[in-house]
Amino acid sequence: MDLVRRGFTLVILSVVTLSFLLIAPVARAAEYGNIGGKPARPREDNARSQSIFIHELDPGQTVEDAIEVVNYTNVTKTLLVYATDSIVSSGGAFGCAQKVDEIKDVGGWIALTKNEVTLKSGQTEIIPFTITAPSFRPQVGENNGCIVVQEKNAATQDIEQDGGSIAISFRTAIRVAIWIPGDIKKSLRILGYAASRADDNSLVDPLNI
Amino acid sequence: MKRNKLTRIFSHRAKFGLSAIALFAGITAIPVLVLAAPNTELTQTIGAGTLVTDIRDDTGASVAAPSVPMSAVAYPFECLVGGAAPTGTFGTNTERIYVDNPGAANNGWTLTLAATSGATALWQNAGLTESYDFNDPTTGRCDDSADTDGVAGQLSVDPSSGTATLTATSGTTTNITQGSASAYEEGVTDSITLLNAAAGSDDYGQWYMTGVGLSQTIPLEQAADAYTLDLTLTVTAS
Repeated sequence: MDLVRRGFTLVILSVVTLSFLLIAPVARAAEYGNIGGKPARPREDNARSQSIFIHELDPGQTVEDAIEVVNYTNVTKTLLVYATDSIVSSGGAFGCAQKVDEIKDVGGWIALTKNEVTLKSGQTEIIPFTITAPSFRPQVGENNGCIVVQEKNAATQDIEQDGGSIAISFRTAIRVAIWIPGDIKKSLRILGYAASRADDNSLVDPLNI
Repeated sequence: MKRNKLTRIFSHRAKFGLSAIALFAGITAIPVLVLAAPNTELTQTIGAGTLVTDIRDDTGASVAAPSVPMSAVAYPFECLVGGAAPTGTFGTNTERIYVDNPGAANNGWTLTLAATSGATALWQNAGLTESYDFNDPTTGRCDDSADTDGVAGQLSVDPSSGTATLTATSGTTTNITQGSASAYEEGVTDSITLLNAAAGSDDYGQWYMTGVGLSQTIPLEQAADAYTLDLTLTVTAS
């Protein structure tokens, strides 16, 4: 009977061993748990192109580039990808206009091949785009815009609070810096000047010239 | 005969035992063969990641629908300004303002806060029948100015108030400055800077901010209701 018992024990052991050994190692990507984008074609000659889009364009010239959009969350996400003008945030910091804001500058130079993409968890997609400098008198020097990645249907909270509340959405943006070559001319014109006399007949010079 | 019978019994049991051992060997040989295959090499991918901002709780989990409650006030028979204005705190222990830079912004970044609907946005009630402004800069901040809407009110944001703190959970806070106190003003200050990371800041790091002070002036006789304003937090590789 010992041998019979031993036989059954061995069978059970082998099944358990088999179960453990057949569990395949799962390879998975590390997750930062969010969405975003980055330059897809950084140039070796410019380290900054790893973080932002940076080009020199003559008036009317077009350049091709691409953004890699990523979804490092655990669920499928639909993302909006769009261009905006840059704005000056408080304190002089670099900022990006909102999606609803009228585009008047560099945001209008950018043409993305897609403005919406649905990505599964861990998936990335490269979206090509072109930047075309206006042929008619673009501003010489640096011109800035943004390419923004934002979730399409972000959750919003129910607002039923007495004092009201602020709902927060998120965006990740990448600066687009376009250099237009040429001579930068800064001029200052005095359009008028007035001086007057004080009670003691001395000349009051408001500009102290 | 007896011995022969015993021998047969023993032989029978021995055969069963040997069969069981053979079965064990066979079954365990399968995974051994699988393990011997070249595709069992462990692989692990570390994603490069991108610059992101998020609101997370104290365990690091994303908050699904973050919001900033403003203090409740009584019906305003007079304009609520200064110390009488409702206040709020953007960034609490359970709703921390995070920025992750996994080497994606190597020349600095900014974290800014602006109205999602742009400079013409308003605080509005659920029925969209009542509203007041968030970026009207009139003196005293109680009257409507010559902006594009007909309502008064102004939201102030103070990322450097006494309660505002910046904490690095990875990297350092060197070369990252908190923005100064500002108020929204249509066409002039449409975006307020919370953090400004200079080129010399750490390229790899994770930070969170709490305690950003908010204050909103309320026009006199503003209808009693719950009002909402949508703001967008933008982190920009600059």
